Amino acid sequence: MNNEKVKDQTSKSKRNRKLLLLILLMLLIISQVIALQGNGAFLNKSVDPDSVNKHSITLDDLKAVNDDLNEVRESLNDINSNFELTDDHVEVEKVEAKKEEVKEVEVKNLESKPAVVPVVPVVKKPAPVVVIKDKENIKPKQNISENKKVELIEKSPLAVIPVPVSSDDETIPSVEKTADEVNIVVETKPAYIKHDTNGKSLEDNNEHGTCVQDTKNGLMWEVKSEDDTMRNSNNLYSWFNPDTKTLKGITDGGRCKGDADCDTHAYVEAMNKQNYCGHNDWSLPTREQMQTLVNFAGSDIKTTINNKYFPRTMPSWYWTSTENRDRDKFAWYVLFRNGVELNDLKERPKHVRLVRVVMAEQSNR
Amino acid sequence: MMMKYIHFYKFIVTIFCVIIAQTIYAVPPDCPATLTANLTQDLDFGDYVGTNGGTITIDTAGVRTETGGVLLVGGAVSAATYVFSNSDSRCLNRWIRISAIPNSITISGPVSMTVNNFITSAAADGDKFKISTTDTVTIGADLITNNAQNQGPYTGNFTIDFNY
Repeated sequence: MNNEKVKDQTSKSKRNRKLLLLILLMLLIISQVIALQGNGAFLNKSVDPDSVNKHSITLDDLKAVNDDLNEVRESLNDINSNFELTDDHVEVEKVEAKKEEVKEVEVKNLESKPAVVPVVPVVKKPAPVVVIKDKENIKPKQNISENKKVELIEKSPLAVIPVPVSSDDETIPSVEKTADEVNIVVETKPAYIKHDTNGKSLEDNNEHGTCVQDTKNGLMWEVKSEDDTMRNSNNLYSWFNPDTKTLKGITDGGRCKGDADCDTHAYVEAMNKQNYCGHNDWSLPTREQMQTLVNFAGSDIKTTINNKYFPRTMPSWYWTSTENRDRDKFAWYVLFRNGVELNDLKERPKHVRLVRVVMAEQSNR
Repeated sequence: MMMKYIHFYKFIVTIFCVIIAQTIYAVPPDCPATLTANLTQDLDFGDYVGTNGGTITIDTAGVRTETGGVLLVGGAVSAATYVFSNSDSRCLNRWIRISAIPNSITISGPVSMTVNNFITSAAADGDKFKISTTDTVTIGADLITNNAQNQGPYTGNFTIDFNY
């Protein structure tokens, strides 16, 4: 009676195992079909375009995968055929894991453009490991009873798991587009822009500019002349400012051609009165403004200024409006022989070059 | 006997989970060819005064710097700017690779000048980025100026490709 019961249980166990193995085999096939078709996505996954050409597959690779599947099937069949329960003991079978790596394959002639290739990841096949384990110590000739526990434990799934090389390069980009054309724009400006007597800008090669505008800072400068007017390059003027709170300097203390008195204040007044270069806001430059004209790379080795735009510049001293804070009889000047700033008594005559500050919007013209 | 069935069903559920997981992981969705890249800003080096040869650099943030005999004097300055638009959720987080970035090009004007060292704002990731719905990519470069560069406007152009 007891033997019949055991046989009945053994028979049921065998049926269950056969059913299980059949299901496993079907699942294996299904998983392979899904992985190879590559069109059953569930989630959005990012695609690294750099993965192009790295994991393409060839017919040989597909054959290799197929061979691997056959091996798995054979292993399962072996398990099924070798496993038997006897009255005496429970036989333990263990199928060693087969560790096999499928080669990475590169298709070299896809170098230049992204190709549409089916998604076939590099396959690492975790081998099926089925262990039939007896939880109790089994003694020879011991009868199997109900409390004899026999179970199947899966150590790794019986599926062929595609293992991507990295998390980001699973598929291959299939779309390539050319974006809109980018224009590159740049404009080379002259260091200074020449203007005529009315303030109208001139071509850079025009020799008749009467004033120039610095393209870097917008300052507009007087250009000295050769004629017998107060703009003559040889004219000398004494420093005078009726609005200063310190020593005002001296009027008409220089030597100059033209109608104006030979001092800086009279010169500025006369130039604004005649609307020189189309403007009436000319002034004596500050020390800092005058220093912007100093150019040691000037073409004339005698003067430290750009002679192309400031012809007839004397290698001499030019007044600024900046007074010496410590000595009220002194004001600063720039020596264009070497670009040095110095100060001198206001009464001593020097050259003058006027400046005006151009508004920002005007300087961009 | 009952334990056998419990373990059996555990096993089956595990197998299904693994299959679903591997399918999700391995097979990304198709991304239709609806991504667009619109140029919203040209690459503009602005105005400069050349005393000697030098270099003007526009970085990907549109900041201009100079080296050598170059004086920057204003003008509009900008890095080239593309806006990538994606209206399809299937393309979210898709890698977009920018390719065909020129190594060096010549722009024309009174005399020619060279523009090189193009760099994209996605350079840190190998000129690729993951698209969301709207993404901006900027491109900077170096402008090589020559001695006594004749004054005037200089222009040129280039294109880029992108794929996904």
